[in-house]
Parts: sequence; C-alpha cells; structure tokens
Amino acid sequence: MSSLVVSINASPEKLLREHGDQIKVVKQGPGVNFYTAQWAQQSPGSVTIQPGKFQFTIPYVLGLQGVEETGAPAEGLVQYEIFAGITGPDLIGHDEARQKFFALLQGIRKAGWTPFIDRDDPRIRGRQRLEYVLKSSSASSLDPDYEPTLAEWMQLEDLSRWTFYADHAYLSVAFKREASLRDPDKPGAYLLTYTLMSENQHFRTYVAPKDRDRWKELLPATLKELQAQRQQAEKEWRLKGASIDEGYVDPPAPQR
Amino acid sequence: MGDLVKTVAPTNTTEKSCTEVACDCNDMWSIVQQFSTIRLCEQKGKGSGKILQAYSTRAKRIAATYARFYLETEDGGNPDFKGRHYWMALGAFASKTVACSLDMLRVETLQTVFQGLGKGNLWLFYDISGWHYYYNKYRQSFDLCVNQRNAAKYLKPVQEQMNFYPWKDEALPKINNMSDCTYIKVAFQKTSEFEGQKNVSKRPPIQMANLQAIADHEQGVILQPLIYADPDFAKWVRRQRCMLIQWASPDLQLVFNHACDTKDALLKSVAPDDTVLENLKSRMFWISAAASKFHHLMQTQTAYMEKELHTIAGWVNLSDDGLELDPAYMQPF
Repeated sequence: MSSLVVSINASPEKLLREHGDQIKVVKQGPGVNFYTAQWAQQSPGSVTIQPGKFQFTIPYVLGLQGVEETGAPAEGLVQYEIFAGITGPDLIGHDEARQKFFALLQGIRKAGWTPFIDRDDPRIRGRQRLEYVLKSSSASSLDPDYEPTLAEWMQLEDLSRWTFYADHAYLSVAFKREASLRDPDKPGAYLLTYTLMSENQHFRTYVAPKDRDRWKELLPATLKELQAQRQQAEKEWRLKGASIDEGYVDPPAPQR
Repeated sequence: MGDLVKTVAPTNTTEKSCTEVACDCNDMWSIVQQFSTIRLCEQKGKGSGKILQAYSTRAKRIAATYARFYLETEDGGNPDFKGRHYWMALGAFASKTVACSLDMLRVETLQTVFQGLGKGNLWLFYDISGWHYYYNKYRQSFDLCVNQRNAAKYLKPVQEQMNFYPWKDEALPKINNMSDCTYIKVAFQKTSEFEGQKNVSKRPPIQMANLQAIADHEQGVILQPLIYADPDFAKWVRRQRCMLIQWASPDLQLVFNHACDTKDALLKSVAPDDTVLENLKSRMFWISAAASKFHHLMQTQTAYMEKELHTIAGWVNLSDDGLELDPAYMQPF
C-alpha cells in the first residue's frame, strides 16, 4: 500500500518535494491550487496525517485533494480531503460498515483527537446527540464516543459527520452510501471523506463567503451569537431532563 | 368554485373581482409543468409558441434557468436564501458544457452521442426544473404534493402541450412519468434546512448534501434509464455517465466559466476507464472529488463563480434565429 504523509499548513513545496511522483497540481484560476493524488481501487493507498503527536493513518485511500489558497500563501496547505473506503472490497454489509467505521473513529480518538461540538449546538452526548442530529440537521457533528445501533446507523443521512479537534486543526469524517444499495439486509458500498482543516480555514467558514476577506474582524460577534444559540438550546434540553456536558470547552478561537 | 380548466363566472360591477378555483396537487403540477414548457419555447404571441429547435439553444436556455434558480432571480426566487438551490449552480455549468459539446458534435456528426446528450439534457430539465419551480412558487403545498407528481395524470390541455416534447413517448415511461421523488425529498429537506440555518458554518455541508441528493436523482432516476441503459449508446457516451466524473480528472482544470473552451471537457479523453466506473467506490470517489472542487470554488471564489453564473443567466431568452438549422439533426415532432 503506497503511502503519503500530510500535515496542515505545510508548504506545497514540501509536499511536492516528498511526494512529487504521486502529486499532481491543478491550478484553478487566480484563487485556488489543488494538489491531488489518486490510487486504483484494487491497490488503494494510505495517508498519514499530522505526523507527530496526533498522528494517525487512513487506510484504503482512493484519493487526496490538498488546497492552497493563493490569497493566504503564508498558510500553506489549509485543507485536505481524503477519500477512502471502510475496507478493501467494493461491497460491505451495512452492519460490518457500522462496526468498522466506529473502530476507525476510535482510532482517531486514541491518537489524541478530541470530539468537537459545533459552537451553537447543545453540549449533549451520546444517544441524545444522535437524536438531536437526526431531528435537526446532519450538518451538526455526532458524538464519536457513541456507537449507533444498526437501526440508528441506517437512519443517518449521507454526509452525516463526526468532527474532532487537536492542536489547531479540525478533522471531520463523513460517509456517503451508494444510493441504490440502502437495504440494511443486503450489502452496500460506502465512501468516506476525511476533511482536515487548519484553524484559520475552519473559522473562515463562520462568515458568509462574501465576507471571507474580513473573517477575523467579524468572528468575535459571530461567536457570541453562536454562544447565545447554544445557551438557548441547552436551556431547552435541561428542561427535557438532558444532562449537559459542562466540562466541554470550545477549542480556542484565533485572536485578532 | 370551478375547475381549473374551465370556470364560468358571471360578470359583475366589482373591480378586480375573482372567482375561487380549488386546485388539487395534480392541478398544481400541471400548472408547474407549463413553466418548463414555456421556457423552451419561442413564443409566437399569447398562448402560442414553438419548442426551440436547436439542441444547443435549448441547452443554453436550460443553463440560464439553472443559473437563475441558483442566483434566486428565477420566478419565485428569494435573494435572502441565495445558496439553497446549490445543485443548480453546478447544473448551470454542466448544461453550458453540454451546449458547447452539442455544437461540436453537430459539426463532427456523431449522431448517437448528439441525440443522447440532447435527450438527456432536455428531459433532466423537464423533470428537475418542475420540482424547483414548485418549491419556489408554492412552498406551502410542496410537502403535501411532492409525492403526487405524475405526468400521465396532468390536466388534458397540459398533456396535449407535452405531446410536442421531443422523445416524449420514449422518455416518460422510462422516467416513471416524473413521479419518482425519493432523492428529491432529501434534496429539498436540505434546501429547507439551509433557509433556517443561522450558523453560517453549517450551511456548506447542507449545500453539499443538496447537491449530492440531486446528483443521485439525476443519475439514478433520469439519466440511467433514459440514456445510459440504451444498448445503442456508444462506449464514448457510457463514459459520460456523469458530468462530474469528467470534471474529477486530476489533470483537468475545471471548466467553470461561461465560455466554450475548444478543449472542452466532454470531448477530452479524460474520463476514467470503464473498470473505474463499474466499481461503486471509485465511481463515488470521482463524483465526490469533483463535487468537492466545485464546492471549494463556490465557497472561496464566490464572486468569480457568481459572475460567470450571471453571464449564463443572461441566455434565458436566447433564440434559434440566425442559427443554421439542419433538419437532419432534428428529431421530428
């Protein structure tokens, strides 16, 4: 299995120096450069991310896409998407997919990554978080410490995601199921997308695309609003008897 | 109360007086279908028109309509919700690419491909524009009526108009009379989530989910039975299963602009070979990788992408006039 090592905010030159034979550069107009690699399904690759303290390796990789924003050259590669299978073969039973996927999440936890709760979401855990996501939106992150039952797993929509934080980097893991194979009693096919973002890149998403150039200026007010939304949501959950994880603290936001 | 097709009410002396007509879901879908019909017509006065003849003119007006849906400049659009019809932005670039390819194919006389591409693009429009138009115009009854679209039951005058749709007898049964809405319901659930989402950082994943659900519909419900399953369809076209697959090539600069590139994506031999497409995971990978590039550009190069979409939106009244129409390339109808 050929492998590749990537870290957030590394310079594209470094990536090309180390893996120039595998990486292709796609320059997309004035704003973005993509650094891509791909593997055949029969001989997938592996990608090790954040070498060092929070290192872990993604197996069965089909493709990698690194992003450099030419407006922020000093930040290097600010985002990676890694597309991978759960196992090698094309088809996998849905229950096996569920178990193996949960083991992958546990691997990320063991590497030292902390589960992330979206800043407007109530700090509820486990099954309550899953119920919340099913009811509100799959854009909210799920709790990687809770293993869904098969019935719950099948209820999760495509692109449901689990988000982690470690050392100024954010990582989301999301899955997509082959649309035509969703019968829980028959095998399905899954593609995982791991999205690794730098801290700045993560916080840029908190402002509307048109305000991206002013993100640092707008961020404090935005975070305050999200905090208020969380407080409101937690109030409602408390009334329903849910326990709020008061010990959970948001990762630090960049200073102006 | 009268019925929708024919209602008689006595004249009176009250200004702007109205007669109430009760519409059921089928009536509503019949009204909605006329939006798609008119959009691809050259209008010849009130209540009369002719379906555009040139495939590439149709594809350009289709691209314009998709761009207008995304930009919220289409009938019933709401600028406060710009971004909710996310697939429409991708669809606009895709239909533009189809228009460019049709122009080339016509010159190169690749009949099978030319007909297949023209047919797929047209019927995808007849289907997908209706769901979006209904949602925009009649949001309150959308959830109630989404399950009840069925072109075989449309009001008679609307069915009569549809008799002029090219490839109608072949297409409608293959796409279940546009009644299939499994992925559509998921997609519009995302549209609705986008509208209510206050946390801006959660909108991009919602948009991506909208795009993927409509891509599932487009591929599985419309294009697969309509053109890909056709045994006569050449190998060249089998590789075009999904526009996104073309765009996912790591070697290819994406064609997200309004101009026709002479080295345009569709004709470049950049698609993966059949074995890649036949593997589900690698097919999902190619689609997801291309969608992700598009997504990134939409989120970070928004001004550029929307400027291009505005240009495409300007093609909405494009006419066949001045185009050299060769009857050999026209499906009779």
